[in-house]
Amino acid sequence: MRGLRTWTTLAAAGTAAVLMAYSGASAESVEGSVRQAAPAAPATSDGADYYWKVWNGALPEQPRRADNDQLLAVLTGKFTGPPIGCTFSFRGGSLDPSTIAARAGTTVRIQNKDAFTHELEVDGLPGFTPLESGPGAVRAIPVPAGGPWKLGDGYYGHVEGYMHSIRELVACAAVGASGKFRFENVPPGPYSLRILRGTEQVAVRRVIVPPGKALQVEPLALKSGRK
Amino acid sequence: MLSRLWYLVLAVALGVALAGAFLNKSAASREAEFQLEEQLRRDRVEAELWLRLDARLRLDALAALAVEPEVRQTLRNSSNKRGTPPVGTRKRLSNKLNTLNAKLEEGKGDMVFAVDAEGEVVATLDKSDMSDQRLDKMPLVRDALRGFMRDDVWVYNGSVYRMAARPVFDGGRYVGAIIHGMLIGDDLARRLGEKLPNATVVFFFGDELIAAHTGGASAPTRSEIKNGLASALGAMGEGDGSTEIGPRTRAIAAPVRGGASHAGVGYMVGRNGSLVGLGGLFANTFSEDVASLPWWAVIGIPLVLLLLGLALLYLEHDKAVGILRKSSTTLAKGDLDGLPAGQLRRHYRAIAENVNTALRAGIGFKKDAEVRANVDLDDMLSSTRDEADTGYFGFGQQEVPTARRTSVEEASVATVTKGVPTARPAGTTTARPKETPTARPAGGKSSRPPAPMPRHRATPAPARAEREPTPMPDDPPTRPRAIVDEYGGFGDDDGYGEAEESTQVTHIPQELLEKSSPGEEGEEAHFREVFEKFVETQKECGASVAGLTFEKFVRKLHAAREQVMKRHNAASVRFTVYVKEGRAALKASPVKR
Repeated sequence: MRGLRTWTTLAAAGTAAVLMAYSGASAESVEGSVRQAAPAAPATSDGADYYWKVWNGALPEQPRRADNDQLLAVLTGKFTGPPIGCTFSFRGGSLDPSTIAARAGTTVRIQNKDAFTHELEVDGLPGFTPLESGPGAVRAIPVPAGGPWKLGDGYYGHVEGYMHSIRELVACAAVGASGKFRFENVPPGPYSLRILRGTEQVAVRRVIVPPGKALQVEPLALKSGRK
Repeated sequence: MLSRLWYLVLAVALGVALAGAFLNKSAASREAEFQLEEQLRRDRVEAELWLRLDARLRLDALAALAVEPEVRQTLRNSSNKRGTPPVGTRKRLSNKLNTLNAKLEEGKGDMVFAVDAEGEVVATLDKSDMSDQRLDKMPLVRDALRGFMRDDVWVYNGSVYRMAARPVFDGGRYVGAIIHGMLIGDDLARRLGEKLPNATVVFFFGDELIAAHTGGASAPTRSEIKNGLASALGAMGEGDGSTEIGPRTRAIAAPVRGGASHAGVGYMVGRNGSLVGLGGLFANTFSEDVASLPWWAVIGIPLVLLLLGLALLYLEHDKAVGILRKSSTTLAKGDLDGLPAGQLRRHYRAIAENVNTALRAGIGFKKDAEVRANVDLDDMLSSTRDEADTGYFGFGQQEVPTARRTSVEEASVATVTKGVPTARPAGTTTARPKETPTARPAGGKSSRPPAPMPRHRATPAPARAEREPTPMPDDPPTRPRAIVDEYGGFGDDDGYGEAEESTQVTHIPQELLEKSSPGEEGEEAHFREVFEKFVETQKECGASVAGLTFEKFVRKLHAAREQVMKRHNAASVRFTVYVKEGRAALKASPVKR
């Protein structure tokens, strides 16, 4: 029995070594999803931002959508290449997604894909000055260790997000309205799949991306917590 | 005292009036400021109501766009699985939006979007803009896509827009929304300012004014408002109401109701307050206010107080001064012995009493006293002398001293130590008793340095001959200067004495006077003695005595004696011969009763 365990351990180690050896040669995708939770309340209270917000009197109002803008799926592990898919933007009038992550010591880029100007703000980040970013402009943020930092917009109060600094960040993926996410071009190997929402990590799972085929991750249950 | 009290009353009344004026000013200023603050609060409420109404009107106006079939059809197609419509369709929708927007007239939008159910912009007013644009994360759009009509304020590429959104539904489902924006500019400020007369309305974005309207000459200027923007924003941040942005200007600031408030977009209403200074107390006085004044109190009370004050002044001062003036006039005429102190009060009474005391003491001007104390007997004699007697003592035809040159000096009664008469001892030519004890120190020397006395009064004779004799005090008698001179003669070569203030002057008891009085016979003998002494002295001086008879001499002595007695109320007069300017002269010394 004892010998069987020993041989199993050796086999796993050999498999890992083989996967690591193949990592430079292939890149796979990782797909997953989160179980839909109740739609979160808007990031900002818009109770005083209007004179009128009245029902149209014809059709019943639509329920609030669970757009999962606040969720970000990341892979962390032993990978020294540039983070994969960790580009973010203003889209539709807000950060998309509103939770972003960057490897400590690198620079994260946020592009303005809207037709109007944004002014990105990062609370408490040393050396960062809010500046206007016109349509198409990219704002680069140097990310030190630490965080998370709160993000905002000088012009739009509804824009709110958080930026995480992760030392072993490998890849980033937005969570769609349906709760699905997909990492592209991930080197095979063992990773930790983490779901971030706001300032906290709401789900984590260890995954091994096999070479030559996509990894389908079982749906992740999100911890309840603050945004 | 009462008049002084009246001054105090006047001063207190003035102080109270001034304090009241200043208090009134402060109260009026505070009231004006309070009214201004209240007015600004009402302005803000009114502005909010107007903006709310304006938002509602824009929302309602959007119905014309939301129900347009082409809009609904295009948005429905875009919301289907087919995705964004082709460019041509989008351009047609843009043209339609322009047409419909133009029909809104006052509600015409500066920015209109037609978005599908996913929040993607299908068409705008700019038909050349076919970019891939989404607005689904804007709260306004999100709520509209859920079925709400809602307003908002956006900062969009540096400009500020009042936004309104209305859902578009077709076929029983939501297919999109119409997003409508109107630029905030001077037109909006003007329309709002028309609802707030005499106020200046501005909209600001950060520290910049993006729209302004000045409500007339009485309203603050745009620059005043801009200068006070920082303080108004500070007050707005602290939740306060209006803030003072100028000497008499206040303003109230408020954020706009919408997302743009996050960017520092708001509006401010400023007003000038009423000028309330001491001069401005009456700036807002109406004729009705003047008419409602209690004039009986405003005029009557000060008038009564004025009359009371004048009466008190009359009683305390004017009346006394009048009495003093009249009595002093009468006194100067000699009809009064003194001032009527009994009719006066307080200080005036004291003044009158002091003057009376001085009059009784015979105190006068020093020079006058000297003149009185040394009346040249010749002057007196000259007043009674007829022309034929001129040169009686002078023997004019013989170039002898005239009566003026041969003077007889009058001397007052000299009474020395109390109770001791100044009876002239027998065998002497002076009125001074031989061994009369006086306060004079032994040896006849005063303890004080002798004052040099003129040998002859320098009073010009003609002037003195024309005037009345100097009135002499009655009681107490003036210190007999002549006797002093005579005392000075004892042991003095010049024959003049020296003043001695330590010598006491007092009345001589009548019995002593009677004892010392020579009587008729004694007087005759005294005259004889004086005559002989006079003749002798004249001769010794080398002067001529021709024509001088005892009868003439005695006649003159009588005349002189009568005058001196009358003037000094003396019992008798003693004459003394002495040498004056090289000739014999007479000195008359009245002896008091």
